[in-house]
Amino acid sequence: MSRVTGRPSRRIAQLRDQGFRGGRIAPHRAMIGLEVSWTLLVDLVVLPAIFAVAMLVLLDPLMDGWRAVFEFIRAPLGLPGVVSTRIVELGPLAVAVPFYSSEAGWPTARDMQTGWLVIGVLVLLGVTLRGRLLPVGYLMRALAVIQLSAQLWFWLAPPPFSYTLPEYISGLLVCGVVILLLAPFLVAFTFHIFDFLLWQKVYMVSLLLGHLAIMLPLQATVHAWIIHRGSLLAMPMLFLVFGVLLDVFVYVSLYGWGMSWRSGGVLDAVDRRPPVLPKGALRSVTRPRPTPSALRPITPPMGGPITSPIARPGPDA
Amino acid sequence: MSIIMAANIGLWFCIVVLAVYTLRHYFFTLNRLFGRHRQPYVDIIQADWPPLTVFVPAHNESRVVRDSLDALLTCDYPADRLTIVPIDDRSVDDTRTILLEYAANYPERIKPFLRDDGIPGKAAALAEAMAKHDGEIALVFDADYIPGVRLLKQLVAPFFDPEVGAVMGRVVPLNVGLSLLTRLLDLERAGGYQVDQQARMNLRLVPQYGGTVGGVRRAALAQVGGWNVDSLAEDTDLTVRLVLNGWDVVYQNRSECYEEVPETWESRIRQIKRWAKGHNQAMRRYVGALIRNRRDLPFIQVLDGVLLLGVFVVPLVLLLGWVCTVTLFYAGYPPSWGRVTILAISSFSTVGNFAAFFQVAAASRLDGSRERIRMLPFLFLGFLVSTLSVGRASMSRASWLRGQPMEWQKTERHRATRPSGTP
Amino acid sequence: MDLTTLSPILNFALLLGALLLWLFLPLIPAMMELLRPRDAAPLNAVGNDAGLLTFFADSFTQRATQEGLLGTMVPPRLSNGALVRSHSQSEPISASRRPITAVVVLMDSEPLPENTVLEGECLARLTIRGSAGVTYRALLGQRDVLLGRDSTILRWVHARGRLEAEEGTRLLGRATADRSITLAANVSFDRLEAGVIRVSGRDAVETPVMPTGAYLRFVPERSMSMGPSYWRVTGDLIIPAGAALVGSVIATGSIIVREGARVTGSMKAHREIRIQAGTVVVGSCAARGRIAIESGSRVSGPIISESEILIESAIVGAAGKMTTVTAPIVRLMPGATVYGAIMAAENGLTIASS
Repeated sequence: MSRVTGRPSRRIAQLRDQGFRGGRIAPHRAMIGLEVSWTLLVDLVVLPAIFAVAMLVLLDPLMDGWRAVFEFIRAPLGLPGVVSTRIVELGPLAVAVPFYSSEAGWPTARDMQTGWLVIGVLVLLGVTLRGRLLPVGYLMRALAVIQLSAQLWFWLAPPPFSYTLPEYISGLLVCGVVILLLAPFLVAFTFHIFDFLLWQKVYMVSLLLGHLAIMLPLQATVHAWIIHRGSLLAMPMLFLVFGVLLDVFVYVSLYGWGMSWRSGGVLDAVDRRPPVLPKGALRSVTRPRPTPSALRPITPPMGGPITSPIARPGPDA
Repeated sequence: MSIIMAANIGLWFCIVVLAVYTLRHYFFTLNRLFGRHRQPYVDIIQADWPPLTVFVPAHNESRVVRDSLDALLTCDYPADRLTIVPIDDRSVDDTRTILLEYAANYPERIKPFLRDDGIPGKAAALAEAMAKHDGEIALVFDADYIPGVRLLKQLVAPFFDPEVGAVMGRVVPLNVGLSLLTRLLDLERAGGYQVDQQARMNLRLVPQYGGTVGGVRRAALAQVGGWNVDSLAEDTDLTVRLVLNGWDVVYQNRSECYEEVPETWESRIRQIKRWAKGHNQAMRRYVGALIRNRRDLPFIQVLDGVLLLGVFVVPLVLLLGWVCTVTLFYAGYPPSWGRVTILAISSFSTVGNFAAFFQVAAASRLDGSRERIRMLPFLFLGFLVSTLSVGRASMSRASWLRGQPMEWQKTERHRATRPSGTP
Repeated sequence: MDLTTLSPILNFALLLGALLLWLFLPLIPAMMELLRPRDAAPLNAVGNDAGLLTFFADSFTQRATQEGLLGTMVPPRLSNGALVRSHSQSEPISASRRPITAVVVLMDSEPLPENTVLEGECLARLTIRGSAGVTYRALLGQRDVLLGRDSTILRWVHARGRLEAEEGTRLLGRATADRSITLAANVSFDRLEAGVIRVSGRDAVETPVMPTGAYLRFVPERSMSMGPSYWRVTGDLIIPAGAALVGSVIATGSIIVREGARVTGSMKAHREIRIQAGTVVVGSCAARGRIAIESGSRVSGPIISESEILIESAIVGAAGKMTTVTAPIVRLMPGATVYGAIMAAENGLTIASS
């Protein structure tokens, strides 16, 4: 301990956390937490700001890339029209977002029949999927309800529909651009605040931005093709379920992966993952049954762990 | 036009409600990660331990009750201060036989309470059983819970603070690796206890007494009027009454106890529907009282109490938000795509807002269980099922009308039914 | 590949496949964890060391017995390969500035050289009187243990008999003894547990306990009844000198128990508690703020503070009625006597005067 500061020296602090086998003794998970430090400011403000600015700078080449993709696959997909441009003002900057100018028609009788068929399949799946697949069944039922709303709308309401296909596609892509600019901040406030290494933080943002940058034009093209071929009847389902929701789903997936990375920080200190549950362990998790004669007026503390079959070897004292 | 206006107002209302709960999740997680951990009682290891009665309500629990009683018998609480009272409430399986067998083997320590009539349900059973025993402190364990050796002392320790009316420990799922559902429930439980409950404890809000792995001070229970036998969620009901009467409810993050989580989706749906109905009942009864008593309680505690009571109404709000979103989408109002996008983003919350994922991931990270966080995207499915089930339960009559349980509400047990060799 | 030669539907199928594949990529870790679980066991709940301060000492005793460290012939190595060194009057370990990483067995009462640093466990088979400035990672004394001035315990120390710590000792981690712990001034500590824990330098002042009837009965004013003999007071509460409060009380302000008063139940204050000289509290004391127990007082139950506890020459608990003093910061003055455990989560210290 330093006699000047009253704090334990680094060597003593290290020895205090060291087990007799040389491993690091972790505090109990109920006691652990993170410390606020100035690096949080970097993680929460500087890093996402750098990424957002970089994204702004890269937007033009990215839009050029999207345009090139659209130009390349528009004709092979049989999408009529041209690749048009929508100028979006983002503060002092303006971004030229490309989109398809293909139109989509009001659903025909055949489209409606197809829609009913889709609903029928979804309902059938929703009703028949049980047991472990029940949540998938619930998803099918929810999709059926959404498609049903579209069927009813296009059956009862007079044309025109509130949105045209070009409006829809350009809106989807503009929304994607906004998400690309905001994503670094979302990552900062949900991932950077943990004790990951700098490269891990940079890697997570890069992964997300990279994935979205490629996914968004493909997603828009798929939506455009389906709506163009299948009429406006397909738009509600695509918008409500397979639009922005899908972008967030991507982040949740990447986030779940990233949060499983070993950081070497404080929270890794409590990494005491026990081995995978062995077969039959569940039946033997309880302590041996006491016999009446084994009980004393004050039962002495038991040394053995309650989960002996699945617990790790004794504590690293 | 009026429908559109109503949908617009409804949607913004939903967005505001969701935003409040999202901020709550986020704030709790930040507090748990960076705030000072408040665990003032966890170090009480020596004391003149008070007389304790442990109640184990059981209704057709022959598959699991032995494990629970065995674990309780080997706890290190002074034997001359401990009475274990397993309650059999009109079981039709072997539960009663098992309890009588234990009572014969441990006559000084196990004193079963057998019920054949009266109001069914846990609260009524506890009310009757507690009237027959006079331990200063009463702990309650469901029959599928397996307490550790030192758990009883840990749960009794907070009662040395005379302001503490109830204590809650941490529930840890035992049957984690059996299915997607059990793995998702494990993640949810981690978020709920490691982060949510502990943050509430840190911030002196309203940690919730959960009806098991916890206990109550007899004096406090008597002062607030005892167990509410016509409640479907006696734990929430009691939590709010204690807070309203000036008692503290304490959460002990270190006091961990294994439980068996539902293994089938059907069982899970029944469980969450039951919770939703009971919670909503409590909301109907006490939200007004909480707001009226706002001068006697810290504002932040009133706010947290109201939000806690409203937690099972949120799925209903989410569903309403969906309906409004869809309505506005078709109506083309507002015509701006950006606004519709905002609606879409908010409606994304229908299957769980991101703050919930953040909370769960933070909790598992704190638990040192890194790799199970990879299951996070599957939580979408769990949230979808919960949202639809709770939404449906919240629309039911039982959610809002006074009424006592007509039958035992319990979760199906699987422990002994598993074929040999399967984990 | 020339896409224009394929039909639009086929091209779309290719595009859709590419999109689905791209969407599936982030899901791969989740799918792998679902199909081939790596982290699907229940948490290793219910830590066995929780609430048992002698857990590590017990584990080491068990290991020492198994490895033959308590026998007549000490093995040169443990079964895991760790080196064992013995120290005795006839074969002493010589003074060295380098830390000793081996497990050290003290065969007799011969003290180690001053300022020795032991990075392995140390087993003292007989009563030992440690030299000044010795650093022990972990020390198990089979009899009494006396730690010399400015010694340091890094993880734990347990004495099967008495444990004494001289001035300037740092007891980091757990310090336990089967019989008693005696601390000199300026000893820092984290967690202590023994039949009785005393701070030397002054005898504890015993307050005579009279029957409750001998006191003037006191009932708090402006209070809300929380039950029979159970009150909640809004604001501060002062229990007058020589009065008896029969029951338990909660105050949303501070509580001061004046000289010679008696409380038969427990107390809780949202701010501070000050128990003045010569008072008796039969139950426990809990406060969000500081708790001060002045000389000559006696508290029977646990003392719990969320900030700081100061105990002067007072008695907490009783022989056969062990209790706990717990707070982030604990200060003990000469004569302070605690039967049971003292837990200072952040910093515990004995001080010569206030």
